[in-house]
Amino acid sequence: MKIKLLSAFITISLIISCFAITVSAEEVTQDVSSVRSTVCYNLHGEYCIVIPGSLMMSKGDVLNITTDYLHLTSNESVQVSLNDKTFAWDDEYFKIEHNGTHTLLDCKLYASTSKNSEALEITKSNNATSPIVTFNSDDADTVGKLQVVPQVEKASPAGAYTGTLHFDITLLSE
Amino acid sequence: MKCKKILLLAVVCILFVTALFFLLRSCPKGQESMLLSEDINAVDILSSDTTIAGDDYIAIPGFERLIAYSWKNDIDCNIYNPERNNCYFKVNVSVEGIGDIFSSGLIAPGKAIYRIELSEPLSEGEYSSTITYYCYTFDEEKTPLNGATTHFVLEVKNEN
Repeated sequence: MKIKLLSAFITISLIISCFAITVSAEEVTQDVSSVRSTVCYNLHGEYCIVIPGSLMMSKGDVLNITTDYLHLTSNESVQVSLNDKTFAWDDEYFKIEHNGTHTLLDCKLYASTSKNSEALEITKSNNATSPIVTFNSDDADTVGKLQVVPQVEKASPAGAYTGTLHFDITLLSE
Repeated sequence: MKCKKILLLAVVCILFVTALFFLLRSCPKGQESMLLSEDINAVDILSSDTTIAGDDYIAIPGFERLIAYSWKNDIDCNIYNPERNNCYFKVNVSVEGIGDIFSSGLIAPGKAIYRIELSEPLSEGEYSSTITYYCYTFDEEKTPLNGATTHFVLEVKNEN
């Protein structure tokens, strides 16, 4: 009985060992007189702009636009404005949508910067292409600010509203 | 007799485990839709970057110029999702007068696309071009986040 069990165990082991056998062979070179090392440098680009990820309407915050890095010459600048995709195709205003009922709510957008607090109202036909903020190598710490003000009406259903902004980022050379 | 039963049971077990092994290997890894699946061409970024974006912010990288060759039907590029972003990127590369030349799948943070395949090489010249970044949350709903379009010049050279 024990011998049969043992033979069964050996048979199982042999069958299992048939699978997943990896054989690797590599050419061995002796007396190597030189070695090669690869130098890798990953150049990411001229700039990286940090935009708000989502609209935090419940906080009523002003959305900040900043830079991560700028590799610009003295005559270059990076301009951030709003893209047409931000606005409804048939309306002047940026709209946010009620998560449950899909009711749309108009929002006014006001742009300013940390260096110029005078707010500029942006609608589709008015100042839409005006830059919210312009960064250059001497002025990388400037913060662009975009305030989203929902135009709440009595009929507006309560609840959470969401919307997405789309920015235009352009590198300009003088 | 009892021994034969044990042996038979053992053989059946082995066959079952082997079949399960091959079944798991041959199964597709997910049933995600083709429209929003992670781009298989997105590879790890070659070096760590220094982005500072947090959960509520998205770092959008940009560059001034891309070089292509009129005798090659691919373009070397560096379209990447910074490591510290907390969202997926989906990018569209569009060339003025030609239209979209590339549309990616989802690119996870820390992944990059280093080559764009073209259906046919472009003619020599300079083209105004854009990369549009669509951003999505990691969850199953893939909720759209704010996005951006960056502008660059695609320079197509004739030389080798």
